[in-house]
Amino acid sequence: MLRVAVLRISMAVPILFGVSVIVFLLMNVLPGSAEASLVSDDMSAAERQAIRDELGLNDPLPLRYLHWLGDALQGNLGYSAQRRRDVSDLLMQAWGNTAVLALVSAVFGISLGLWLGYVAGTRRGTLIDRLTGVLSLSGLSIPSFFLAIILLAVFAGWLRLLPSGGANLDSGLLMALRSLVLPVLSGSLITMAITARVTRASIVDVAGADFVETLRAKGLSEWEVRRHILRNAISPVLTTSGVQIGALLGGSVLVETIFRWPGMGLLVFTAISARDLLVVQGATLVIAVTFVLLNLVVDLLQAWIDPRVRGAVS
Amino acid sequence: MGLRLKHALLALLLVVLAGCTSAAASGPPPTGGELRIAMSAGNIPFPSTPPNEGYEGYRFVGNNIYDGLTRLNLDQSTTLPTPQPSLAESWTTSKDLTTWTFKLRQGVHFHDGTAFDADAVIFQFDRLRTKTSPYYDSKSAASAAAAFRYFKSWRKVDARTVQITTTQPYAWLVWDLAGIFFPSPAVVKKYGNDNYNQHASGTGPFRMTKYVDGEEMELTRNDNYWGGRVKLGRIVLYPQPEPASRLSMLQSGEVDWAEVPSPDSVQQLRNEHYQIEMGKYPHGIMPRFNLFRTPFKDNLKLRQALNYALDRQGTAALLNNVGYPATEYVYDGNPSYTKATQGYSYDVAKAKQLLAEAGYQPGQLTITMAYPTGGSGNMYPDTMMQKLQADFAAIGVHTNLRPLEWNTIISIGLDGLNAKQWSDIDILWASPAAGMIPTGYSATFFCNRPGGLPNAAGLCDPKIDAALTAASQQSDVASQYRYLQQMMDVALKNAYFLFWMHDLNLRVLSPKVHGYVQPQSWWVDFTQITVEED
Amino acid sequence: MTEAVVPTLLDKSFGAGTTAADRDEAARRRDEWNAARTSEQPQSFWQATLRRFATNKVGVVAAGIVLLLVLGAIFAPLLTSADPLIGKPLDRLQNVGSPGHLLGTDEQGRDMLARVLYGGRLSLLAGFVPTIGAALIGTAIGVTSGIMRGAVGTVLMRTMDMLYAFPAILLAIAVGASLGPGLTNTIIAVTIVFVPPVARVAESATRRVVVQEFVEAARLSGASTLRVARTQVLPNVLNDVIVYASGLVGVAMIIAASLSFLGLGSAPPAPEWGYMLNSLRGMVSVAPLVAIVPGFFIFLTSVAFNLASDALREAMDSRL
Repeated sequence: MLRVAVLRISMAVPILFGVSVIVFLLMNVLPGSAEASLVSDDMSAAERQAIRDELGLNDPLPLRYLHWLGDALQGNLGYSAQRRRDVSDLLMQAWGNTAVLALVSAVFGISLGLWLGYVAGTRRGTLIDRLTGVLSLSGLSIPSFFLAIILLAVFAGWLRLLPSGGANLDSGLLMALRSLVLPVLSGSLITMAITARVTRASIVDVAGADFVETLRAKGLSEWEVRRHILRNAISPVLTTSGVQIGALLGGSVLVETIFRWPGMGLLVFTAISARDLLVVQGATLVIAVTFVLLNLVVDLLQAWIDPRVRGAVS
Repeated sequence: MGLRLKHALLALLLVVLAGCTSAAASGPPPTGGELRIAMSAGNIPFPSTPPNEGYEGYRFVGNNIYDGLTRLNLDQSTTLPTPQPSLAESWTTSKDLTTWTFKLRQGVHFHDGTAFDADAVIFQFDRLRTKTSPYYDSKSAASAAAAFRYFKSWRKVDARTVQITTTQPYAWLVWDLAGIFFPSPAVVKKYGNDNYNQHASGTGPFRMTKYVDGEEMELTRNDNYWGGRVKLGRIVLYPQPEPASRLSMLQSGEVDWAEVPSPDSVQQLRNEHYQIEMGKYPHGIMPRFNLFRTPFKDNLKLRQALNYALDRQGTAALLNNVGYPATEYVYDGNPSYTKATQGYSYDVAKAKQLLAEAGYQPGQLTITMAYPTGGSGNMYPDTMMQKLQADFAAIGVHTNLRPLEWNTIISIGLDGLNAKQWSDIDILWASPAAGMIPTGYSATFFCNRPGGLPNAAGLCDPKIDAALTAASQQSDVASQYRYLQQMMDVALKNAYFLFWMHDLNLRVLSPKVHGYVQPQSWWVDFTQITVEED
Repeated sequence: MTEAVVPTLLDKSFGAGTTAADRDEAARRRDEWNAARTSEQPQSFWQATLRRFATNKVGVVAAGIVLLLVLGAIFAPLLTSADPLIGKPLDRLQNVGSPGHLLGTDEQGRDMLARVLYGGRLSLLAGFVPTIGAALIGTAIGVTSGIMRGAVGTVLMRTMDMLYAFPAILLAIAVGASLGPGLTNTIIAVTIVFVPPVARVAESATRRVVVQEFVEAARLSGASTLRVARTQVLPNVLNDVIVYASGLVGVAMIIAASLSFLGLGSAPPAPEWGYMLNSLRGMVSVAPLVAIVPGFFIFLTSVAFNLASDALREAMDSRL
């Protein structure tokens, strides 16, 4: 197990490297300039070049990248001229906000999805199965921001029951929980839907496999058989759950924008819009590390649950 | 499995939440009430000198934390606000308008308790202009460059007197000075330029008491304000670029003030007894023709044809009349407004005729127009551009719409339409604060911008250059405006812009807010407002 | 046979775009799609699947709805005489059911029915094309790396992880912002976003199948890797991929809509549903019914397609 972990972490290094190169290149083909929001339109050409020099924008691309990489390896993610703050400060604040939202959304979405999927999968063809199907299909088919705007209009604008936005994490637990309701509902419906669908499909798949009949033939109790089914069916569920949590931890741009939740998604989006390269690079790194670690956990869990996969992982 | 995972995650979550609840919430609002505002900016403007987020940053943050040597009289709605004594009690100028002597107000203190004096003025000028100054702030200097465009030198005469000389006779220095703010030198020295924002300290009517980037800023009344009693107790700022979300914030009672909610919600809000504020002010949508090349270069009739083709009333109707048709660059009532020439009406027949005279049959001309997808102060680009496309199509001109991020539009304004990467753009969206501060004309109207680069749209008319230069060199305000009117007349006759729409500055306040004055400006005076407490 | 199950979306009449570029693009995709379909030999398995599909009422109804939406998009000019691009400002925001405007009018005073019908052309493309493209590419990558253990598999999947380590919407934003607005670029961005997850699902399924007894048996009997892949692995993996990809059509439309929301998607005045939804989002409290129309059609299409493909999956599943 330890060997697997070490191997996967060492494989993560080239991934992180690759991600940062891809993002760096993408950022550099975007139109518009990074200094646009900093300078005034009646500056002289020389003054503009001076500020570009200071921001390192005039260096050749490979040099700029190596410069960033060198600093990052020493734990220095740079200073955002656009935000006038250390990139690491910005990231810490945003990641914390996103983590809270993502964890609540993941717990809500995945546990609800697992339960619905399990119920539906084991009671295939029944009314419950159909209702679950409708629910998960609806969750999958409503654009999250559309739902968010409707929820806002109903619960904040019309009923005035819940706050329309803000993280409010420092205003007490009750306020924090109230602030979480709408963003979590809008953001986790898709998680719930995907988890439910995959769980159901996987359970149905496994329940029809030959070994289940063998187990039954061997005289195992129905409860024992179900345990085996669940254990065999969990692998794709784990994969998608990892994906979902990863996506949530990366921050949902739309939900964060609409609910004024200053997390990673909003940070990256505004940084892309402002051509704030250092913030985008730093955020990408954080998101990618989170993701790689998460994948590792998912793979290890898979190996632990399904011994047959162990060989494939290593 | 699912259950165990759930418990583990829940436990983790509670730990995280518990950790977050440690920060203390602010105390009860002081007398005068607490004014909570939903801004249209995407982020809290940082409290630097100058702030960012454009004029929204000056409106909510800059003018509240800081003072300039002058300040616009934003406490009235009847005339265009003009520079008044502020940190400078009075000033004199040499006859040739190149040497200015400012007498500073005495007994003024920064929020950190240190005294404001001539040294603080010189410190800030050096910080923004002298590269060798130990506290030179290159990033703030870049943003502040426009306000310093005609500065030549500055010196302390005595503890309460400073002198500024300009590179040329320049009557509008006092306008520029309204936008140059003074931070506490002690605070800058203590925290350094890079970490200054977390500790911002000025002399203004409000102190910054809380600043969480991306979330909120709290400004609390400065009880020692030199300018007299400030009525309002506290201002809380929230960023929210989504109009629909700003509307919800207002309706749910989270804010008392919403910048530009969706125009169509106005009737509903009025029925619910919200205060709908609208009024003429210096803000227009005045797209710039690319005058570096064909088809618009040297083709007056074509520029006129497109101006006649615009159905401005129809556009206003689409916006539920939160804007109104522009007849010229500045609004009727602005002192630069010219009555000499009639503006462009909506006249399809005349537009078609002019198009033919310009050398184009219907269907022959295709143009590309770049416009922003968002950005505060841009009115409603998406709705307006679709209408424009239909209006132009009606006279046989096809328009390619090129939506770009706001940052990119700003970049184009810097690079100019002659830059290779932007040279395929025929018309560039522009949303000037038209007529708010006369020095603002220079980058748009002069052949060469004060920094030396050519006009970004290629506009170059000696008559305009002469009029604008003359205006800036008149000591008599009335003659300044006479020259500016001449300039506007030339621009109008030559159809150098697409004179399109003026904004009405839609802003909605809760019924609890009293004492608000809607000035003819992008900026607002907050000191005389009060908010009823629940 | 399969054409009847998955509607012939990309037939010749679909290429009737407004510009030559649109037509060429549509033709290219049509060819891609057709080439992909015809490369699969009709087998008795698919015939059996279709037979079972036809007995599933929900599936048939859903397929019927998808078909209706496609037909509505294709024959839009015959179904409405209203102009989807130019409206009357004075007629704006008429409610659903107003005389002459069955679905009301939008913020520009344009007939919503016309916009929904014409917009279906764009939105259905934005939903289908990235899904199909990503399903093909992703399956190829996933199965290859699932079977080929060692260097090839590792490199492929780690490359996928690289793209994957960036959340879907952020990746779409970055690609969308680089390419510029427009439907074609949205489709490219969404396809890139979808490939890694499909590949992961395919790889995961492959790994699961590869260790099952019947594959081991086939291996032991001396079948080549390619043959094992084609006869034993692929049919089993496709099951998972189809389940997964079926959920992506709606997601594709939603990501396209999200890009529009952020100003990076379809350029106005194209009546793409996502764009319409976004331009009406400020009207939710003023004209709620009209504002919901485009979202409803995205929802309807997505639900219908998901139900149809669920039915397809069940029909395929019954072979066990």
